[in-house]
Amino acid sequence: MSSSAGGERKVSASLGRSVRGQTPRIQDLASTPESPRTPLRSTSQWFSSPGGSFRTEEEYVVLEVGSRFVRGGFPGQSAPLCILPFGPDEQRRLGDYRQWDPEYKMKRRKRKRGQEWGQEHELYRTDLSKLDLGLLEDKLERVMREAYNKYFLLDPKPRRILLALPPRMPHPLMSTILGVLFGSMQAPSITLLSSPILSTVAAGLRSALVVDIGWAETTVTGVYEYREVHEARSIRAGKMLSEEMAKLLNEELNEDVEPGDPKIEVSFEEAEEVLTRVGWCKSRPKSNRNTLYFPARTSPILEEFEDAVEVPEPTVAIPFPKNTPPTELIIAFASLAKPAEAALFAPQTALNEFDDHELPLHHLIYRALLSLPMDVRRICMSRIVITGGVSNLPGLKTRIIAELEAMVQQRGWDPVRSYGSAGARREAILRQQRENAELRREEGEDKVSESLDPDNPPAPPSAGFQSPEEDPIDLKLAHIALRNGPPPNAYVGGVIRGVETLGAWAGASLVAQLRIKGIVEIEREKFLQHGLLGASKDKEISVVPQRQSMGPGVGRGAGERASWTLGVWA
Amino acid sequence: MSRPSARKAAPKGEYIETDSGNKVSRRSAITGTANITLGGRTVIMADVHLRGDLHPTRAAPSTSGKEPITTSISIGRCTVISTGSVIRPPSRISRGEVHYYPMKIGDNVFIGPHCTISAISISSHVHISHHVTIHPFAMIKENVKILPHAVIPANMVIPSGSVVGGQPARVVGEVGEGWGVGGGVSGGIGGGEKGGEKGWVEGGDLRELVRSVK
Amino acid sequence: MAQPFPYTYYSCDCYDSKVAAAPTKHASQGIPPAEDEDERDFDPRSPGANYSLYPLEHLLYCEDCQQIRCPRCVVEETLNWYCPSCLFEVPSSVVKTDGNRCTRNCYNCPVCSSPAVVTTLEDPFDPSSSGGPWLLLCTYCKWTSLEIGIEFEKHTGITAQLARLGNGGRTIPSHKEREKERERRLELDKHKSRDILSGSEDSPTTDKRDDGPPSHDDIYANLSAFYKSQLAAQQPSNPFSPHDINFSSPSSFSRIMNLYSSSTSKKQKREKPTPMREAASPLEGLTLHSPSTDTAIIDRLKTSGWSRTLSPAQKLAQMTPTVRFTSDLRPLASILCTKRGKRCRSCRHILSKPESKITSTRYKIKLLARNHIPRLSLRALHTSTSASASATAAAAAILPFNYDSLRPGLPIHFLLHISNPLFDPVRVTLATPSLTPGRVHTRVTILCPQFDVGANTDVWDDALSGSTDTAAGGLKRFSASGEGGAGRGTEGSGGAVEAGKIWERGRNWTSVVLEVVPGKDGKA
Repeated sequence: MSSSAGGERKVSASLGRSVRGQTPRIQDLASTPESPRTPLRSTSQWFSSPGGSFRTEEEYVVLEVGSRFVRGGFPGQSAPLCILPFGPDEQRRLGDYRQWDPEYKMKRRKRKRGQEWGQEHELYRTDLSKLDLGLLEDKLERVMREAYNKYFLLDPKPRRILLALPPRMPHPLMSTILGVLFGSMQAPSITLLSSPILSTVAAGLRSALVVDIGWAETTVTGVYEYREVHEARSIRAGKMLSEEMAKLLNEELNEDVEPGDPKIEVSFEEAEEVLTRVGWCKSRPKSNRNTLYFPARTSPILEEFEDAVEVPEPTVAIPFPKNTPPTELIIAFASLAKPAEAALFAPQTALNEFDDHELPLHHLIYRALLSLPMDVRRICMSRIVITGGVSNLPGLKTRIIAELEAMVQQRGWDPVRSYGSAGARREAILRQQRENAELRREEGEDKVSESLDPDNPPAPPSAGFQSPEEDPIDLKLAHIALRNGPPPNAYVGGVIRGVETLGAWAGASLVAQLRIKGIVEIEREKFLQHGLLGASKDKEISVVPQRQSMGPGVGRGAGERASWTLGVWA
Repeated sequence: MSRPSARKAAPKGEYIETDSGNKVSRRSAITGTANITLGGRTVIMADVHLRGDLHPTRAAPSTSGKEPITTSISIGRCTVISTGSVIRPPSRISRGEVHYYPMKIGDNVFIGPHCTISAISISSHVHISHHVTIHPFAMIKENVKILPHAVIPANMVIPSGSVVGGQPARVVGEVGEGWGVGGGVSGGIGGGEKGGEKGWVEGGDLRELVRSVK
Repeated sequence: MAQPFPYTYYSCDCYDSKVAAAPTKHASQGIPPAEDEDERDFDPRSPGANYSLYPLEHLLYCEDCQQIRCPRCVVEETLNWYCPSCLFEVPSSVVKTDGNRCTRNCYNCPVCSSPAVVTTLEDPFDPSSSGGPWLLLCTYCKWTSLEIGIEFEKHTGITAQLARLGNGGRTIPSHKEREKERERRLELDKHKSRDILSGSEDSPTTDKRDDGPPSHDDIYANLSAFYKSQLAAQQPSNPFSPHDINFSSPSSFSRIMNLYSSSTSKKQKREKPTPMREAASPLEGLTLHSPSTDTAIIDRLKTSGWSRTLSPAQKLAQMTPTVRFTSDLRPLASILCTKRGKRCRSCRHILSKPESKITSTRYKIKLLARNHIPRLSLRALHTSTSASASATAAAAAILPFNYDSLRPGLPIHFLLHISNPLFDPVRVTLATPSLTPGRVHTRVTILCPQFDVGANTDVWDDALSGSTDTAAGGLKRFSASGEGGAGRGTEGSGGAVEAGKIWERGRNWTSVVLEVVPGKDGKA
């Protein structure tokens, strides 16, 4: 621990520490100020019941309930069996088949008055003041029934449910969701897992900075050793993006409309379709590039792409069959990247004009990193996992990583944004530091790291750790570490690096396949009796000392089943 | 069962009624009558085309008309084919020749107006709404409801109990357990439309509907 | 409209239990569908009403609870599985391993979802021995598997062939092969790192990945294998371990045992396994973000345009959620269907149970609500006294009543028919808000709000008693149209629309008249 802290003493963007066979310990984190929350037990927890009766026969259904889609499937599958949306077509009465009427299908539906953009397509929103929980229950019930009857096709045996939920879900919402799953789906027990952690699992990591660009909001969660240690949110997410796309399309479509004619307003479905089909995100604009930036790590392809100016500007023809009359919009390919620009990065607006809840994504991530403890930050910054529906937008991940990298290069990890009159002095110090770093980097690269792994040079050790001559013992230790321990790659830290994830659902599927126990396991009987209030509040506290005293592996004694906790959701 | 009393009105009426109670509109266009069988009490409305002439000619197509009579369209009992529908046995081109395959339609099938049907088989208690197109060799099992304007792609098999719609059609729902129950059956004697209720239900026994056709 | 216009929905009691004062039965009032189709035709009560209103044929009845059971208050249990396309029954043991899909040649077009057929590409002038090559063809939209570069050698066993064929015709190694390959590479990596340490720089085997970025499935398989190996490494010598998927199940148990025996606890502490590490290489499931994939996608979008991308519905239908272009499509094996029985959710009694044979459409048990609750139906009533109808009487006799052309302010009479399935007479009291809620305020008056409906006595009793009512009912005939919609009375049964009187009555049914004055669209 001390060495890792030491390594961070001089944190600088491209600096890391050398790789050693050290393993992060869960206990290390128990004392972090961010009050660790523990939804996933350390992975050496097992489904095990002393003296036989293995629960191998018990099978799970893996569900992820998002605000617009439910994903469901079985453990060990790489992708869910079904992804079910909550559109208005799914909410019709039984026997109302009008959506299959061609006349109805070709008609653009107007948004209902007083309804927010895309509200019809949501299952829930975290703002409970306007949420009809009864309706939520109805919607979820129907979708779950469809999933079970049309896709899962299970025999009547009751199945446990592994449910991936975003952390910090409001309790009334959770209680409703659980109620449906216990009530209509007759689940004997439900294990709750938090989605950022599952995304981490599905990326093959233990720690990560999970950026979930979802529908209503983007959440940035710092995960360290399978625990959420920090969370930041912004409303710059899918909803805003699709609204921007609609705005763009409306503008373009209305260009030819005579002034007197009614304005064309694209429907939610149309905007959504355009966004998912041809929407994209520009790479980082050059003009923004700071002089301090040294382009060592940007991919050459990216540069080339940016530089190329196509002479006939590429366009995309987008059909709008629901328009009256049906039309085809020819739109410049470049403008299809505008919504992402405006909704997620907002480069035109000065930073001080944003409210706290609407920070552009790169600032949000940067701030989240900044507020992590140094050693956690070092690990997390090299494990940026971008997930959520919007993250599929081509170019978005690249852009976020590039923006972030530029920011880190420019500002380092200094929470002070402006030094005012002291700015000049600070500049000088920074420059000095940077030069030193550069120097060290060059030296370091000559020596060890290059030989370790040519593809992915781990950052050189900071000066304090760089031994002037090869210590035979060190070398031997390194040998042993390499032979027995994990490969060096597993401990990369200190550089901005994006890691792909398969998503929370796949993570849940992995966890269920490996039969790892979640800390929040709710039994049907208990829930039906007490609801969420039945959860013991102090469980959270009792877990940590227990683990410390007995080591990972012995989590709960025999009687512990009697009470249950809500863990991260408490 | 009983020979309806409407028979004496037949010469002037819209429908010709056969001995087995089939009612065939005078304005329908039926070709190849020898190849068509009607199960009894089946209604063929005006402007319906039954293409019985498109019959299977498997063996030796060139031999003159002495071959045994083959059935090209067989329709069950109490089936109603509404105005403007075209029933055309499916065909397949094989080795440069067109081969027609016999089509079978079950009992109590309702085919709405302006449909084009080329299914290989339609089982009983099927309700087909208006303007439905069924491409060749589709197979429709019992108790199916087909929504208006649906286009059933060729070779599609629709399992029993489904609701089908869309272009191309897909299974969009299930008919309830109560599908086809009620209507004329429970009415018993003096059924008919009673005080505003029609005496038949979709997918149910169509006897009352057939009786009401004049 | 999916339902012919005047339709009846029944509200299940489960809705009442949730929302207090909900009416138990709603007969649709004759509100004309407004221009704005999105407005639900029936009122705008809560959107939640959509989840509790059901057509009668979907309702069951629990005789023990004496309640209607709608599709949400039943528990369904699967009786058997079958493919909707080939109608073969699939034994339950293989349903799950097949991924709930048919493994015969039942494939659907990934573009339009209609069934795809296997056809031959055989050149008639140069026939091959096998009759192939074969391909999947969608007869509806003419999509073929050639578009994704897939041809089959045989016309049978498409599933097996498809499992080995990637898009573009390259072969996908089987699961086992991939596993072996992974092992081999991991081993190689290990050697390489050792080589580096021992100074021998000349490790020549930098075997380049041949097939681009790993697929979603590959990553998942790698991750899964990685986690398994890590977990296995943590429990190196466990005597209780049955050594397979369950390898580590009793580990906690053994640890607990160790805790109690002081001699071993010390040892245990020393041997405490290092927490499992993170994945470090692509073979372990780690995928680093690379900007070049993003750029490649953008370039492809730019050059190929809209038509090469997938619609949301097409994407959702695919097995892998990451597809984006038409070239990534895979034919869809048809998803299996089930035959299900239904039980009452509260008392667990069976409400419906179909015969288990796939071909049978009969039910062993079927407790329908329609045998227990009065059936309501509504239709327009044309009488010669109706001013608007008389002008076009001749036409109206043929044409069905057009429910779409109700004019605001013009009163129309509707006939509400109530029939009683019970063996006891029932007394009916009707109520309606005089103005319908919602955007269009329609005035509805029930001319006879309270009446009796006779018992569903034996038909022959009824016939023998020679009730004149039935005779009157028998007289009334309607010309049914193909629409199955409404008809028009050809013989006025003489009943004048009169307040406080029922329109007509039969053995177990009664009909009354409603007067409906359509309101004006509030917006217009």
